[in-house]
Amino acid sequence: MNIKQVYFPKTLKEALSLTKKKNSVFIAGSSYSFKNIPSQAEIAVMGSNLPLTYIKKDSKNLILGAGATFADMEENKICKTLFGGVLAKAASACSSQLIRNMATVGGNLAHPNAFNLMPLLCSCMDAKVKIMSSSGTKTVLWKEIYGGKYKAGKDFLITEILFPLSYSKNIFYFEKVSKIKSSWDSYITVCFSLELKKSAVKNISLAFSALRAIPIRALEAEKKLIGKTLDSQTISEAADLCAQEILSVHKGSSWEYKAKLAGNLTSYFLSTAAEAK
Amino acid sequence: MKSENLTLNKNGKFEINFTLNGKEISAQVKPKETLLEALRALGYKGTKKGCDTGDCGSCAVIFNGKPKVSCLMPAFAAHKAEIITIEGIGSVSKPHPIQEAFVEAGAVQCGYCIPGMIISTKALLDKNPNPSEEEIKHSLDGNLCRCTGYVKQIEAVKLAAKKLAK
Repeated sequence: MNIKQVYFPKTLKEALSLTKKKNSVFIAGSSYSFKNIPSQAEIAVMGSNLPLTYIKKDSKNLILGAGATFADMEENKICKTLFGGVLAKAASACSSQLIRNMATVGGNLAHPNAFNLMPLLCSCMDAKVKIMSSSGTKTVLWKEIYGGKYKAGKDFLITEILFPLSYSKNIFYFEKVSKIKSSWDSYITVCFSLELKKSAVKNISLAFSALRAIPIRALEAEKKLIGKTLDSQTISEAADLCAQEILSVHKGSSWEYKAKLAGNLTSYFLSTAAEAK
Repeated sequence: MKSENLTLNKNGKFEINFTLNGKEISAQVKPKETLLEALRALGYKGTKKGCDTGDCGSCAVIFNGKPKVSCLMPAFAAHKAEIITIEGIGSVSKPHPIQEAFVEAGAVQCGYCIPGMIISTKALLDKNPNPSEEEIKHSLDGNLCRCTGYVKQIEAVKLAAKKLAK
């Protein structure tokens, strides 16, 4: 690290023009990036003064400003009530209070990592992300920010994460299986969403993280469940499919354990949802 | 209003201005320095270096009203911030009621984690003067102690809440 200048921009336009400079690095909440700053970085652009800490909703989405912290999300009334409160519950499972007060939702999404919770939540609810670049502002599906030639915090800034309200009345399940509650990492973390119509599955998302940088959706299991009533055979088949889909990514003893966990959690969620109906 | 920026001075340091324990101060910090290292270099050694990875909470400070780990934060991030360290809460001769409660409840063994625990407790009780046991556990979940079983510390927070309510 060779930081020579530090900026505290107050507007997005200014922040973007600074991140475009050669050897600049954007620092959101400091919980991750400072110790991981590349050695060639010379300019630090601090996101702390940007007006992005809001959490609100409009007619279509729950909107998280990228600078909102996990503590903001955990304590927010909208996050506690919409989507069965899954956003607040997930936020409270993000590491410890000391980290939740620092880590921003935008920073968590910008750095693909197996244990980051924001990509998992986005995956479960097919969230969209508002980004700002020199060519303007646009809204893209969350996973489109990865893998392209453009980089978050450099070529574009994540300004908002949008969770569609069409999911807001679904049945949700979030579980982080970890050694201790306040750890950042986990053996597996799941976020499930289910919409039933006359006891049959209308829509379902089965998202799993702590497996690879980008969360896994059990698409085969989801496909199998659509239109089905949640009887014990259907649930058992779906749970097996989830486990197989996870084992298809990687093999090894720890992955067999993760796959088994994935199957058990799927089974638990679907059985509980079936009983509740 | 113009945005702030910092440039390295001739000593290869940033000159930052911030409020520390209620006093406005200026300090020169190295680009690679964490806030923890800068505070200790300034003589505020109550803030402890533990894991240095944000896991143990012994380096906790109240940063703009919220408890945060100082080991992950760049020192330059403190520019224009308000910081409270353990030295700003109480002293040996004039302890804060939270510190008294920790002693009275027998919540201290080796004491290394205690400054972080006190910081988290202060932030909790400022926001929520009468927390439930679950809320106490949740607020102190980033403060690890390798001596005790946390039971006495939870009792200490409850006792501190009672003391502060009087």
